Amino acid sequence: MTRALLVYALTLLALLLTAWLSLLAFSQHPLMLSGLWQGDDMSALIVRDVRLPRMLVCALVGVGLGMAGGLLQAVTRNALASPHVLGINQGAGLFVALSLGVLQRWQLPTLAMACAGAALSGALVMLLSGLHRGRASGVRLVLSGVALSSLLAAMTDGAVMLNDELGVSIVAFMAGSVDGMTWQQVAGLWPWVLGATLGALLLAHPLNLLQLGDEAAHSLGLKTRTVSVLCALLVVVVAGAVVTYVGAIAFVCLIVPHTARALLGRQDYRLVLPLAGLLGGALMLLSDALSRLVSYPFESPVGIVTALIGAPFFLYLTWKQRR
Amino acid sequence: MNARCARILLPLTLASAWLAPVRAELRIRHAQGELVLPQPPKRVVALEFSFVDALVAVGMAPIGIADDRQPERIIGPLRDAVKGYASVGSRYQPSLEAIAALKPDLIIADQRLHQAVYSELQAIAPTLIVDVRSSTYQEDLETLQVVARALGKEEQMRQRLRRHAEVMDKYARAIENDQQLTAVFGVSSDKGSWLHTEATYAAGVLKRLGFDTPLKRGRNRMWSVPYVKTGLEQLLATNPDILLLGRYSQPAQIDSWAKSPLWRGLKAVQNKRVYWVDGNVWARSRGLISAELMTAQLHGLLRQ
Repeated sequence: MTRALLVYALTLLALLLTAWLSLLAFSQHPLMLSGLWQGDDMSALIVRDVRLPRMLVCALVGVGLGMAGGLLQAVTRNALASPHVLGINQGAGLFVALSLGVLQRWQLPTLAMACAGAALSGALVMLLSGLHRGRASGVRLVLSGVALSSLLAAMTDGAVMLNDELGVSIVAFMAGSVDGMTWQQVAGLWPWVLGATLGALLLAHPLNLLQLGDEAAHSLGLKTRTVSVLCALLVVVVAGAVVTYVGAIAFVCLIVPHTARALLGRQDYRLVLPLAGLLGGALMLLSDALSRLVSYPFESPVGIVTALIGAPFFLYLTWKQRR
Repeated sequence: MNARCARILLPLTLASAWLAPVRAELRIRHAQGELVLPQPPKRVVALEFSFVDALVAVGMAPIGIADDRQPERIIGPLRDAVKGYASVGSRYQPSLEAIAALKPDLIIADQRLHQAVYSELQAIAPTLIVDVRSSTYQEDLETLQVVARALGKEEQMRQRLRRHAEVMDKYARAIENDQQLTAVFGVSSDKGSWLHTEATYAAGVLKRLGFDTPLKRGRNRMWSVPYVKTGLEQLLATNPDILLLGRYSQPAQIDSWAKSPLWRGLKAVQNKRVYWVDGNVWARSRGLISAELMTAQLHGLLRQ
């Protein structure tokens, strides 16, 4: 327990530090923390009106993605599962691209389209891998996920080719960007993340039981199918909401739950899921600060930074699993 | 005597017969070495909008254009001149079949976009490759002369360039930017906003009219790239006197910035010098006629 306490304390510290970086670091303006509560000069207004909503969006996205990754890995019992690997992000991305492009004249709500795309690709990958029968091998799940995500990404590229005007938009969007976030996005995002967080906390114990295997969980009175469906719903909602507001952020979902498990040294999802949320937040905030550094003083998509941190980690993970 | 005459005259006649086609032959140095055209081309396919501008500027019209299958992308002043052209598809991936079907005697292509299909294009017709997509206003003026050489219209282009210089001088005087105001052009969609740095065509036109840009090459390594992604924070640091914006979506990201109290921190906002311009003209078009159109639009806006 002392280890868990220490890990949580350090993670909170990291969260504060990265939040401070995201709020104030790398600007051409002299930004000060005091700008949050006083001053009407430009620097204070930038802290309050540009940086604060941006920081909150990053934190919300990170928390949501960290939790979603944890949930997905728990329910599939697969360490390589994440909305990006399983094509859920790409499904949401394709549907958003379609709603911005070909289907533009119907003015479909982007959030609903993103969730529909996420749900559809999620359902497809589960069917392909046989997860609905509760017996998916890890390799099959990841393989069908990778195949599906390439297919969906190719279709999105096709949509971009058909309309190059939109191209820049969709490319920026698929990379994931948080510049230009306003209170509007904060307001749109927090209910979903809060809802998913509460849901994840409620599901933590059933997920622990699920790790014992379907039969054992069944004999303990767990409705395994209900738990799986609820988890899938939460993941789809978070992925859909995040893709709608900031685009497809890669790798946060994948690396954060692993880090959480490794730090805690155990699988207890009641501890892993909240920690994954906090770590996800810290990673997004750090990536946000670094994304301003990449092409300082201008912006680069934050998704590039998370991918730069995430991809080597993913390789390390596969390498370690082989041994 | 007759025999001697014949001995002198015959080679001369032969030589002149041999020389005649040589005089019509065009040799042009371009990105792919030397292009040789047996005679001035009549059936030209243009794979970028700026080549359409160049052709019209010397009184010609392309028979085929890579217009992205969106004819409205051809700017107003060119549209009448190119009536009846055939679309050969997207600029990014022109249809080789459509080009071949037109039986062109010259294809004008862009180095960045079409380098990869150069040999295929060359198999259809002699292909001139020049760099226009990434060229500035000054560089484009030189490119135009290369294109004119390939068309056998060097003299016409020289005259047109002289007239262009007069037009631009006239506008520069009319705009009278003696306070050395800075101006920046940018585009905004719902997913992001980008500013055009000194390395872009639009910035070159603004410079020709006497406007300085805060996004200078050399001051920062980033500003030697043509387009930079910007947030409101960076826009406030750039803070040009005149802000020209192209809209790529409705609403665009800039619309939400305009609601922020920070928006009023921009000099261009305080002086009411934020103008929405046609992104199709300002971001996509290059050439003499395009530059004159941009300039006329800007002059009209500034007089308001």
